[in-house]
Amino acid sequence: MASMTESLRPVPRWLHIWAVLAVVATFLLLAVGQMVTSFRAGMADPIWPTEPWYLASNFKLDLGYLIEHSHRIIGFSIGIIVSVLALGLLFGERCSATKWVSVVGVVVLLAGYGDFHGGLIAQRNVLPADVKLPMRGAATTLLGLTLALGATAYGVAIRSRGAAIRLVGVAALAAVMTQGLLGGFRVMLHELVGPDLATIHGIFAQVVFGLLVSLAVLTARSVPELAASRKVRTGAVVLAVLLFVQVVWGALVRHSPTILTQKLHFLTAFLATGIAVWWLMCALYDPAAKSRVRLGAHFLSVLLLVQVYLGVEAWMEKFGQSIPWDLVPITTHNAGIRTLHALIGSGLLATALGLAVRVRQSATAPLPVTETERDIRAEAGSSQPSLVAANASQPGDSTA
Amino acid sequence: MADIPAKTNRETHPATSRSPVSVVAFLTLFLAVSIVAILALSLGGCNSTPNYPPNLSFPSRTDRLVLKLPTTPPPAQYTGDNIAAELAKLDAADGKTLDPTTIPLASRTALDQSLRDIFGTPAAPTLTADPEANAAAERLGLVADRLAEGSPLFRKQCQQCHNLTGDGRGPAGNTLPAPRDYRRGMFKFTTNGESKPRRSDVLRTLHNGLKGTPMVSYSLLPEAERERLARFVTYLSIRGQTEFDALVALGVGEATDVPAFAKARVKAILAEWERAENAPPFTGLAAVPDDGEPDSATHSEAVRRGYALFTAKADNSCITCHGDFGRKPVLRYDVWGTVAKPAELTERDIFKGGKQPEDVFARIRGGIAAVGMPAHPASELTDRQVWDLVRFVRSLPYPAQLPPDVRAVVYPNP
Repeated sequence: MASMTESLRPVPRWLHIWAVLAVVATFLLLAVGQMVTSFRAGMADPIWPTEPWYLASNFKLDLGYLIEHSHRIIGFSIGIIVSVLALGLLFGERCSATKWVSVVGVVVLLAGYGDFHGGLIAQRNVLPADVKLPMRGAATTLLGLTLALGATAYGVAIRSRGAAIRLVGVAALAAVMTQGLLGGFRVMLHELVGPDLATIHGIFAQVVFGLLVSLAVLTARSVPELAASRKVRTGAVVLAVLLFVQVVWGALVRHSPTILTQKLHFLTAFLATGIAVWWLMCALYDPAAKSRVRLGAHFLSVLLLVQVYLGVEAWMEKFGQSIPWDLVPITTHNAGIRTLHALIGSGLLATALGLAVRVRQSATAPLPVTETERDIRAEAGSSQPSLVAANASQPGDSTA
Repeated sequence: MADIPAKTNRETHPATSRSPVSVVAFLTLFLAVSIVAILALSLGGCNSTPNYPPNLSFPSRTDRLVLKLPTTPPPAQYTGDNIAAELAKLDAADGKTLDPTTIPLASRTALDQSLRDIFGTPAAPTLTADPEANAAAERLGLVADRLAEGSPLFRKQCQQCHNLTGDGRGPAGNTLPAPRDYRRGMFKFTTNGESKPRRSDVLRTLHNGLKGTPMVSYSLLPEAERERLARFVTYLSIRGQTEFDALVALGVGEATDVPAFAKARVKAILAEWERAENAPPFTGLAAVPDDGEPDSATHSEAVRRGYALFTAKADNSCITCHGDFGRKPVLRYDVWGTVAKPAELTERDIFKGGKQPEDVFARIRGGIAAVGMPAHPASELTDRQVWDLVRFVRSLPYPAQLPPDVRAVVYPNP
């Protein structure tokens, strides 16, 4: 019989560990991605797409080239990690039909995505203006996505246990794949919309990271049963949204800064800092909230302090010179500062999002106990209070 | 043990009574807001083309000028990690460079002012010297309003590698091999036997990119925008070469009247550009011989003749620099003071300037003066001979396209 603590997990333990691994790997990817921007290495290799083993046979001792290809290799690895995560979550669906439709959907999605990339690789020597999009791969990808999302959404609609986590898992996989395409088309369409796609690629990276952090939180062990106050719950959402807006302004300042975007980034920094401090006080003085988010809240406060300092340094490096920002020579120091500032911004957003999910998360309801099982326990003369019975879920409850 | 009533359960554990999809709803909302924000940014015109600040001037040149290349061959292709480090070694290697900061400040200030008067600023580029030069500039399309259109485009598309003055040392260009430095007034891939390109040569490079280098293709840009970029690149090259020539003259004490010297140089450089633009095309490009498919007897004979020319024992023959068909290249210094490596011709997709037969013809006939690849004028090689070399060189990476006797020499260990 599974242990009591195991029954309080919404998913098998290995999946939670895998979700945490995905978060760590994505954080590494974000770090390298920020280096791509800081070192202006986005076009260090104008050839896209490339196979994961491309660097082995096309090695070049050039910093920008190595950073860019490291970014691509880690991105490919994330794709594998999140694919395994999504499939692992889907196999937790108890309804066989729903499970297999969603699994087949993911397999078709992956096959279509690979076919799409293969079609583009075959046209690598063709001028960008003459490249034709592989429509078969695109159609297969969309079909798979429809199947997977449709099946998992159906599970949510019928309140299948754990359906919400599965839906988030499939959404995360779709987001990772979309992010890969955004990065690739940034290279392929460089002269038309390269810098703009770079901005969008940077912003969407936060969405992907946020989804994976949410998955890690949702698949964690159950939360304490007492709920946080409405003020804390709502404030957490406001803070997460505000930090996302700040990240958007930050991406614009990184890629195409104007006076307006700089002002917005400064003003939102003041607002976000104020809201964050207020929320931290509320959360840490609310016993129910504190029991859920104490560690995360302290982590958030440390990140906030560091980020404010780095923001000042980054601005001085980029805009405090006597020449336009795009003429400032790249040095290891200024690239490092800007990379750290952007990375900690991602960390702040992900932490806030994780905290928001955590404070709003329902306590995990263990599996309902059947009458037969209850009789067996009574006959066995167990003297332990039946935790399972005590926390018996109401009909229709599911973990989310 | 009595079960705890469900009612008590709900009262003391209010968390379990909340909607199970509230977190999903929150995440979905977050995702939706993100997508809307991204779309709004996309449609909101973040694809802008910013102009330079009006008070920004072209900076004075402070990097070394290469006056004479070393006579001894370079020891390796790259020994430093950036171009400045490479140039610093030339004097020790029997070359000669000039540090412009050693020129008296008053002379440099006078030169900067002259350049500003003639060429304007990045935000307001012009090209005005004297009536004759102005007329030449107009014939080349280098007039103020057209240059002003090219300036913000250059900033957006090119500056991060080629830098503000076209010196090839932009923030993303501090690499080796370095992006092109326009300031010597020399370009590699021309179709006129000159070191300055036609407008169509620059446009071809913009359209196709340079294979195997970070210079990408701009084929997706409208043709009109590529034209603007080509004009601005020409403008930067003329400005840079004027500055180079003036600094050299100042360095050796030859320029006493800086403004007059600068204007005279502008006129002469514009004349060179016009001559390059109007140079007659290579006759061989007008009459391309039909040598059939690569596996045909005619083609094999052409390849065999090309092989003989390639390996001829002569000072100017191809094998002199492309040793062992490029596997053992003889390094040499290029006009910019960096090291040029003759192409490894048995590798595929090696032709930066284009792999079409016409491109390879132009390289062989016209040479690449900037890197020391000699031209082969009609007095030296007939059109037929050049086409034989083209067939041979283009077949080199494909052993099956070589006649057996040639293949046995090129690929002795298959």
